[in-house]
Amino acid sequence: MAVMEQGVSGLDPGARNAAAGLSIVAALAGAAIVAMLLAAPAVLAAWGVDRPVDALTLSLLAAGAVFMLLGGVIAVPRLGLGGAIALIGVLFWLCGCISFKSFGWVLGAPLLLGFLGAFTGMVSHDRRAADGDATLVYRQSGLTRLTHWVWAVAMFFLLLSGLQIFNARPNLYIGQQSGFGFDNSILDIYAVNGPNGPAGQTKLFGHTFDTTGVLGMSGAADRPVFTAFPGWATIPSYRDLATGRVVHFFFAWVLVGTLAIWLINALAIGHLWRDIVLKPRDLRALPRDILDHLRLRFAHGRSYTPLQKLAYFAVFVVAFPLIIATGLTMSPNFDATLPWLVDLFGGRQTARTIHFFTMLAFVLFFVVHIVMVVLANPINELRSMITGYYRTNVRGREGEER
Amino acid sequence: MGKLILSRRRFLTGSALGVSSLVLSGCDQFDFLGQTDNQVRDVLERANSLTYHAQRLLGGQQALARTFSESEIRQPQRPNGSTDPNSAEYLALKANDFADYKFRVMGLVENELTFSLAELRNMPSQSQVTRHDCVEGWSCIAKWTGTRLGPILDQAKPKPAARFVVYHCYDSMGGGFSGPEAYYETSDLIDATHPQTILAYGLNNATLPVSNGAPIRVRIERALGYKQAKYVHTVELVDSFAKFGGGHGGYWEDHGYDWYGGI
Repeated sequence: MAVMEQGVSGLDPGARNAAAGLSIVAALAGAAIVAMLLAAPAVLAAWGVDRPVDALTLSLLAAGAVFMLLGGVIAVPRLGLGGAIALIGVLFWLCGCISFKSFGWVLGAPLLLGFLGAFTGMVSHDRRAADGDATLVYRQSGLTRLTHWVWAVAMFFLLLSGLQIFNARPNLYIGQQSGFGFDNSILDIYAVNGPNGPAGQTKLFGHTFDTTGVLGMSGAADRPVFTAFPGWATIPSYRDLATGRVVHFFFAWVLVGTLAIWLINALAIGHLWRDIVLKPRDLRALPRDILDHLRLRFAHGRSYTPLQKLAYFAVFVVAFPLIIATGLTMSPNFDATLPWLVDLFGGRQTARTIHFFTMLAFVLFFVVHIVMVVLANPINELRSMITGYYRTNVRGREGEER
Repeated sequence: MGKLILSRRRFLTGSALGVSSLVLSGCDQFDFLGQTDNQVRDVLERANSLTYHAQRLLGGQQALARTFSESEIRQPQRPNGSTDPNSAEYLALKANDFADYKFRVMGLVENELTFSLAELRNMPSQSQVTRHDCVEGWSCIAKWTGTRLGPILDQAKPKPAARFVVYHCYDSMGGGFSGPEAYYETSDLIDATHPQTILAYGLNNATLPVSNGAPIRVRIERALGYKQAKYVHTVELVDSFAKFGGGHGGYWEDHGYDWYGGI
């Protein structure tokens, strides 16, 4: 049931100029601020920005300026893509503002200009698409949309409470037990007393890395915190295993419950088979789809492209079952009920290790997921996951799978 | 489409606020969950009750914890929590190698019972090589030897009102505002009478050392380490554990940990 929509406006050179211009002006203003933070802090101090800046903040702001500039330039030939890249710049700049704890007008100006530029580019691109062959199709069912956002919230809390739980024993081992009288550890995050005072170190597969500031030791120099993952990455922000477990198990039930509802529905209406399981023709089309993605040319069809199917297949059929099963086998009572499952993973400590690395895979998926949404027309993608309606750019016979 | 755009706009505003609060959570937005009397936390904690009932319902109440071969014991059992109680009563018992130790069964039972350590050792013994899982995340395999708690409770004849077992211990923990608090634990009768639940007096073919809970430590093999009370001197059958300690059924439970401890 494709819904034709009247175009709002044709290709508007004004919109393109505005998007490109605003993004470039924001980028130049941003670059000027970064340069002054580096070379002439006195000038900024006169404008009320008088705190010393750290390397992380500078990098985030610099990346923001670079992406906004890139987005502004790309918006000339490819309006939608340019707007999306400018939006990435805006997000970097926002992270820089948060890191600097500054929300005044000096750092706010590039943020606002960049956002206007990015938004203009994306909106006018989305409207322009409406004038071509594009049609609005109902792509995401209400249940899919609801469960998507529930999972987003649940995974957020699971991640941060999970890192809190990890901090109680910041080692990962292979096997049934943890080696105290022998060494079967593959990851160890700890603090040491080095020549320059305390430092954070991470030992992974026998290689030691200095991770001071993030892993092993973090916080202000005068008030260091010796937790594996820093307080900003855990719930609660201080060491509290009991509360981490309360939060983790609550959202684990939320996740498993909504996944079960989604799975029953997806099986019943054929969503899993139609949109997520890869068929032979998807596999044949996969190399070309990968190339298309590398060139940032995205097909917007009724269903997913082969690479999207592969990603969602990996999430629903591999990663979710794996992270749930390894989580369950950490329960001693569950192991009494289904002892073969923990043995399948190679022991409780190996299961814990797999649980951790699956978490890392989910973090990677989340980053790629957000980048793809931003690059592929965030307005369209967000609309489809909120209202269900998606603007397609692939011509096809009615009802044909895309 | 006007309606649709409006809802999208409202959503974008809302999600921008939501995302920024999530980003800032980095700091301490959710620290209120650490307050044990917080109402939101109370709701989240109901998941633990759900876990308990789901595992009891679906998991098989008599299912045995996995056992291992002795060759899989690769290290001494790691001691944790109290490792050397210093109450006068315990020190006096220890000085005499626990010859005067008495194990009591009391509370909602027909027959209150008392056993010496020698009597416990002379009862039918049971050894099991099991994996000890600490709530912190580590595991350690060890061989535990003792006598089953179930038959002892049978001998004491629990009254119908008895629902929980309280394990009273010699050791104390903490030294915060309230000073040291006596360690205690509780379990349901299913865990107390489970075929692998023993009053352990032996560890890895030797006498249970003080650091691991001498003279008697309870082993509840399908639960986390904090349920395996050390230095136990009394088990008390009760209909409610609300009046013991902080009322949550154990020292660690009074400090925010879940009572079930099976996950």
